[in-house]
Amino acid sequence: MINDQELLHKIRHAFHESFGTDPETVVPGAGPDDIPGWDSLGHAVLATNLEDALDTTFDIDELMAMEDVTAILEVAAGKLTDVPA
Amino acid sequence: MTDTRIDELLDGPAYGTPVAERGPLLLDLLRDQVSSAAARSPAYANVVRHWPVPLDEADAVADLPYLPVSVFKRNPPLALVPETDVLRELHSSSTTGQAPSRIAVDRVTALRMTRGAVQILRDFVGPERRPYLVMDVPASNAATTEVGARGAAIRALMPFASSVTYGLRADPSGESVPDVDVLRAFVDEHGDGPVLVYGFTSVLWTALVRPLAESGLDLGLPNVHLLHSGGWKKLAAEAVSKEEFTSATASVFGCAPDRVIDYYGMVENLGIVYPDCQFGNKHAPVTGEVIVRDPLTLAPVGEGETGLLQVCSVLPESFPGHLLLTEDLATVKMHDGCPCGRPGLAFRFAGRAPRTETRGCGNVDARRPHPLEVTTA
Repeated sequence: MINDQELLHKIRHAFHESFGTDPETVVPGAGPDDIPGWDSLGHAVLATNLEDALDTTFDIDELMAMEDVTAILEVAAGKLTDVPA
Repeated sequence: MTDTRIDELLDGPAYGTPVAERGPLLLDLLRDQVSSAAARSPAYANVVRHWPVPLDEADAVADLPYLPVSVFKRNPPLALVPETDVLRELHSSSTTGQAPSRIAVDRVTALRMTRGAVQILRDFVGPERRPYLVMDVPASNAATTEVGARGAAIRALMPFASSVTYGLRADPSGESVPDVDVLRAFVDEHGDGPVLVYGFTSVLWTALVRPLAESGLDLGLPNVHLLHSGGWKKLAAEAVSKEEFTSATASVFGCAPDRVIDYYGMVENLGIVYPDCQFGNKHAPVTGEVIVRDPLTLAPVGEGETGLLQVCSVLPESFPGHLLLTEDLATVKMHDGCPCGRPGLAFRFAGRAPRTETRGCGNVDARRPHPLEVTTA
């Protein structure tokens, strides 16, 4: 089972792939105002990269719930129990 | 004000609430919204105070004080929140010499707007994310601070996208033409599966459907849901009826005609769109209501009659857009009982009211982007 640090690492990777984001800025509580590129268009790109990084898929409700990094962690953790590290 | 009743409405199905239940619920919610708005805006409070029916004596949504949609053609926009809380300003497009509407949107309203549009559209296309083919040029949705009507409508469907492909390209003269290589690759990869297509009605017709229909080509996307919006003025000028458009578009995409869905929307009524059901009618979702009023008496009209369209919405928090008399005409098909099963008024768009401004749909001036704020046009 993936731990919190591994999960955050994968999420940071998806942000970097999507927007070139410095991993240190992808922290719980950070939102679109804090991460350049994370707008409605960027969110679709981010979702695809999160799916690749976490080897899963998100439905619309999960996508809509991902309002900030904290919510992404919650959605991802709730979905993943056996992601390869 | 955050109202958990609105979140509960947005969490449920768009059309699941019977009229007898929805009416009182909306009346209570809208009465509270109007009261809250009046407390924040002396000008709006003045309107409410002078309305013929006192707020606490309204028996129906139709009794509540409504504003003409033209009230938003002012700068700075009519807002219920401080400027520092305005996340972005939505502009309707306007032709030369005409004033655009300006809508001040805060974070609460923006999120409700996105949730509202998704709640409605998923009822028509399903909840799955799928490959999204945008029948437009990539520049129509460039990540700039200003997004036009086409870009705004394209973004409204982004939550449904698992990937995004643009099916048109600009030729050397700047005309939008089919990007044949891209379309061929998209069809090869996704032809048998569910896909989503969006196009501005006139762009779809001019750049894709008309030329392909003349050549008899079939894209071969039988499981497509094709949504289009943006008005019929240009097509009417070419004497193309809605039925002809739908039939030709279905032929070009190789799908059944009921997979081609026209919808109506306006920035002042953000978060609510009105797609055609399979019987050609439009319906209000659980988050709003539609009233059609006689242009002279302003009384609600009966079945079969045409009048001015009033739109009602519980979604706005940052501007007084809860009850708006538009400059569009609608025909009441029935007050309830559409065979599609969606409860409440079934209506059809009947064009612009005479002697009003010719107006486009949406133009978004993004100030501080947020992932889940999209606009409908």
